[in-house]
Amino acid sequence: MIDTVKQISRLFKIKNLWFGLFFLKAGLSLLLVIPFYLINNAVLSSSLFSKSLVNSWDFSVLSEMFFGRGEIFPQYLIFVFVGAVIYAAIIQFINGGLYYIFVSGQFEKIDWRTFYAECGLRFNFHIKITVMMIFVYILLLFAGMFFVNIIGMASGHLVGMPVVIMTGFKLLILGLIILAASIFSDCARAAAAAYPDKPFREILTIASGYFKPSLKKLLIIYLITYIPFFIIWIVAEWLSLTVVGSIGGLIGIMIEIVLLQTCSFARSGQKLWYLISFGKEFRSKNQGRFLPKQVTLEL
Amino acid sequence: MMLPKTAAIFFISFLFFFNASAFDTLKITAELDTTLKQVSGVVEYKLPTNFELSTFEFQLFPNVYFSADTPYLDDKSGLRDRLINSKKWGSMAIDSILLDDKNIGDNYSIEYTQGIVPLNDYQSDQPLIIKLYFKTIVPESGDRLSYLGSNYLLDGWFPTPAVLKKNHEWYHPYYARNSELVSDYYFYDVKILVPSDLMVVGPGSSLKNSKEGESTTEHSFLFGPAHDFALAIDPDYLTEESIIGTDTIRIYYRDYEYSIIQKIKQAAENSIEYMTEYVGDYAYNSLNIVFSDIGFSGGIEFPALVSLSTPRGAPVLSNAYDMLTIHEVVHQWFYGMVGSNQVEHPWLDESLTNFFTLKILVHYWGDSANLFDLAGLKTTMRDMNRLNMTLFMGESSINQPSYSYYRGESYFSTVYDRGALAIETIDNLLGDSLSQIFWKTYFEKFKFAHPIPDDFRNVIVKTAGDSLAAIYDILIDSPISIDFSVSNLSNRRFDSTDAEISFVLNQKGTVNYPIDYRLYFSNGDSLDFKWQPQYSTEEIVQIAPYPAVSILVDPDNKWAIDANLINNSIVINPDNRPGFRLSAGIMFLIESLLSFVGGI
Ligand SMILES: [Zn+2]
Repeated sequence: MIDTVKQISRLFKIKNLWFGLFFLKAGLSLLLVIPFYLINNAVLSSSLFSKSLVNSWDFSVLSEMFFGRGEIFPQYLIFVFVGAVIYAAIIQFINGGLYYIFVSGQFEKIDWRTFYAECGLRFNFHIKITVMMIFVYILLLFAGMFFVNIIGMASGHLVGMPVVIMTGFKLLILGLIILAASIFSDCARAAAAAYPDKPFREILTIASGYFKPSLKKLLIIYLITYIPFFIIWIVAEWLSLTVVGSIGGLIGIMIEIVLLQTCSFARSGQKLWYLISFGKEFRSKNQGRFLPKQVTLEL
Repeated sequence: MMLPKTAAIFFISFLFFFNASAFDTLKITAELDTTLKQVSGVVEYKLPTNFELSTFEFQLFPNVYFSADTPYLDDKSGLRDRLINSKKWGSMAIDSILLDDKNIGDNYSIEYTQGIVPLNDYQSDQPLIIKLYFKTIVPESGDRLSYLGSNYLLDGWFPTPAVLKKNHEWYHPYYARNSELVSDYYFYDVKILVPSDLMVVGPGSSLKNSKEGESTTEHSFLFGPAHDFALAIDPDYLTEESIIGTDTIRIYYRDYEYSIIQKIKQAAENSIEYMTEYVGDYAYNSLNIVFSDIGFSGGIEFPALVSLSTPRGAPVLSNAYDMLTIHEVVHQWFYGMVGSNQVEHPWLDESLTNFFTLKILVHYWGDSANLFDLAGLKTTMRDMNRLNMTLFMGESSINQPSYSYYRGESYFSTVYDRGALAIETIDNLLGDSLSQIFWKTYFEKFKFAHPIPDDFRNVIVKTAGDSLAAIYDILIDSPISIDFSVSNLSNRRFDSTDAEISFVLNQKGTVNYPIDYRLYFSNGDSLDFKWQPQYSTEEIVQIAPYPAVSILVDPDNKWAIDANLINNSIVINPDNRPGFRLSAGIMFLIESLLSFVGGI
């Protein structure tokens, strides 16, 4: 645990990677939001009714906007969905390099040529894992719902606040199930980086062999890296609502953008921080091709 | 002075029989069998003597739960699935029918919820006494008629006479999708035998009578005039009481529901106070609110009785249960005391009720976040009404039978949401001076009567004239959506002192009624004008000493029904900040989505 906390200092040695990944996400989001701005700004800018948006997330303005024009809204959602699929594909490309550097531990001085070579080599594999994980998530969601419903039955007579707590508890359990699955995919991706020559099936075997005994530890690592991000997120949301509500105007909006982007940046950092600790942990059990060269005695 | 309870009941009975000439009496004697989940008994009814009838007809509501393909279950997939799973269907059977104590054998017919007894052979000057011996199987779990565990909600549990119209023909409401019970006004004289460990809640209060050594208790009710008589039964009801003016509110709850009864009590008190003041007195003097284990979240209104589902987390996060309670209490006026036909004209009770719910929420809870206020997101009931209204805009008109809406969602968004906003529009156009006069007139005129839409329209004509009635025709009778907008604002120098302001006013869904609009000038002044539309689009040119900076159509939000409020105004200098902020917020949402799908 303490080791994971300590690893955060190493996060600052990969600022380039951190910023690069953040800008990839922010850049693509910016591209996706421009049509939204162009479509809606014309309507909002000339109306008195939309003014309240400057100071609060006024639901009445949002509902007039989105639902008053039924056809544009679903089309835009599809557009964003396509963007998200493209992003997921790009990330699968980058994952090849990412897992290579973190499992090998050679991330403080990244050899970009090797990085991109690994990206290209492992692309197929990461796509395969992603497709597999989509099915796993769907299955788990159904199984998880079933499980959660059983808990729900036990809480038959709850009313008021206890129901909200119980709902939160159910969501937490669903979240943990999904998180465990995502950690399994990390194991598979790491195994692929460590054993590039092994076939898919064997890599999954290695991954699950490592996953089972290490799950608890990996969950803790994930939560340790996630909690600071979560705090930043809540504080950023709260601060931005306060700033926009009190200072308001363009300055308020600019501060809000900075806060929200800080939050998005922190999320990228969270994943890298987790990967540093996870890579170290994985390497300690499965060295694969990253086994230090042994000194052979010449007789 | 305190009266002993029996004396009080005798006193009430005296008043009751004193009044009995105005309304017929339904005498019901029944017994609840909790093992068989069945109510059996007899309904006694005196047929009117002042005209001849070829048939006596009656309703058997429980047959709506008879099988998976009844018209009533058509649109209620949740309820239908529950019944398919439990296999505990509901139904009503007639054991025998007595006319003046003579058994008519099988000389009657029953189809779905309609029972017909021919009276051809009957000749007499004396009022004919009809006795219907019935057996009702309570479904698990239904909606209005339902049991779950030892909790019962009994509505439509006895055979009711069909509605006798003015032309002496019998009318049977068509119990299909979205429909509720429809009946005439009666005085109810009800005696029901129930196992002694169960608490029985009906309209008003009851007299309990249990004989030594017996396991059942007889509950007697004298209640009316009312067009329905429902009961809620549970072994574990606790009571909370409050008095508002001359009316008593009693809440029947289970211990686990205790945490929310203060909110519900407050909402009920506020509603009774507001409706008494704005519309008219509550006729029954007591209102019982019970929690029932009905299979959906929401409430059901009955005369002098309201049933609410056990509130889950909703009251903690929002005022949804306050809103629900207000809605069901307001129904005591529009449904209970003014008995419009919910099957043929659902809007006459639901739209009116939801309009007053909106009014009461705004009056006591304010208009900025009366429904939901969490993490900077504020929502009002009006926001929800407007949102839902747009979903099925232009498909159906508000004045349609409840069974004619092709989906439940379309029924609710048209009758409850658009309906409430249409009534609000009419109320706003009446203005403060006429609004109360209108509602009090309508209420007094149709108290314990069955108004139809034309009756409502006639009161509009009487109060405010034909031009508002024409608006009624458009808003209530036609499916079109109404949208006012302003565009193309420009200023031009007219001469050395004045500016020429030109802009275009538009209306979708033509209404022939003056529309207010306001001009804001560069010096900070504003001036109000009226637009008397002749065409759907008209260019307006005005000369003024200052150029206009913005124009706002319908500045007092009278047209609650307006489909789009964003286009009701235009500014000369566009302000990009709202769009900019919204886009920045959406961008962050997209980034969060990308983080989720990409894991980074
Ligand atoms: Zn209602």
